[in-house]
Amino acid sequence: MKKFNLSTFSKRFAVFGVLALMAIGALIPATAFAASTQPAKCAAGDVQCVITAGDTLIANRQTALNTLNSKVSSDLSSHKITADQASALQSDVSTNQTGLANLKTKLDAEKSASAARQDVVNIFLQFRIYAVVLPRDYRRLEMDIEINAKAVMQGAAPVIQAAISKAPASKQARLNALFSDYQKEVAAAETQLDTAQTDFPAMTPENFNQNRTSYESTRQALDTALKTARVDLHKAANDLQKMANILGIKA
Amino acid sequence: MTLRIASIWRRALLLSAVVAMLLLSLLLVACGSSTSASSNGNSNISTSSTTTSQSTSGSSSSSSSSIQGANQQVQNAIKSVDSAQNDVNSADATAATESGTPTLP
Repeated sequence: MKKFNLSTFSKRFAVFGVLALMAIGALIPATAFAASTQPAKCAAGDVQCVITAGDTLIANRQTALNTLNSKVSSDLSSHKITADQASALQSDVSTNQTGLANLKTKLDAEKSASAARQDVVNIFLQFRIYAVVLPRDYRRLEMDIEINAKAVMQGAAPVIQAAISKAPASKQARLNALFSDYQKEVAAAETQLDTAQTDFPAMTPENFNQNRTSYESTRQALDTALKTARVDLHKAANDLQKMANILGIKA
Repeated sequence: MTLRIASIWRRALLLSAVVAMLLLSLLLVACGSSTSASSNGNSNISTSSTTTSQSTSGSSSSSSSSIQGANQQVQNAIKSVDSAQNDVNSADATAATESGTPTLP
């Protein structure tokens, strides 16, 4: 019979314990250690504390809007979006940044903690930068880019047709079937993008605050339309890649 | 002396096993990446199997270069669409911080 060795047992137990702790540590989500996004608590009458906390909330939102603005500028210079599309987004960013700057001026001049707290509430209720503005504007940017991708695909149709007409007869049937599917997918994407455009006007902070159910259903409808259009565009691009392969075109 | 030779022999065997494992894992990684590249949609599909069928006539060659350009434009546009979708996901990830009732300072 094997002898029970206390020293070996305790060593094994220690190793097992360390491994178990490591596993538990890995299971705790990283978000649990993330810095809190909530403002620090101030004393009831501490106006300056409330102002400082509000200024931080405003500064964070201004930074996020600057990031969006840079993204729009970069997409414009790389011709992913048109000047008109960029202008509409930049105008929305500018409106929100001006509104936040005005609110900061008001907040910084407050003399009572309750008035300062109301200004802080307004950072959320009037602007909803994180909850509404940024998700909406990034979706509009995606929609614009999808619209432009669809236009590129429509513009490529005559080129594809010309290439098919010059292809060997043995390949024509397969190429024509792919081209037909390509056109069908591009048309399907167009329908979805037309639907998506009608959803944007309802995506406002007011609707978010006062009619959340309707707001969420509009957002879901928009997401469905954008996703379906994206899938359609992918399918069309795959069709074109297959046609290019059949025609012996290198990627 | 015999004991020493046995020890060296054992170490050599161990080293050979480690090297073999390393080579095997490199081989597996290489196979994995080539499989994922071939199943990764449209953007970088190799056309080597079909390049031999390319026509050599003048007009056909020009239409080939046109469709090549069109295909490149379309594939780039699709990459932009996917990138824009990632930006939407990032924006949604921070939206949750503001969706509830604001906590006042």
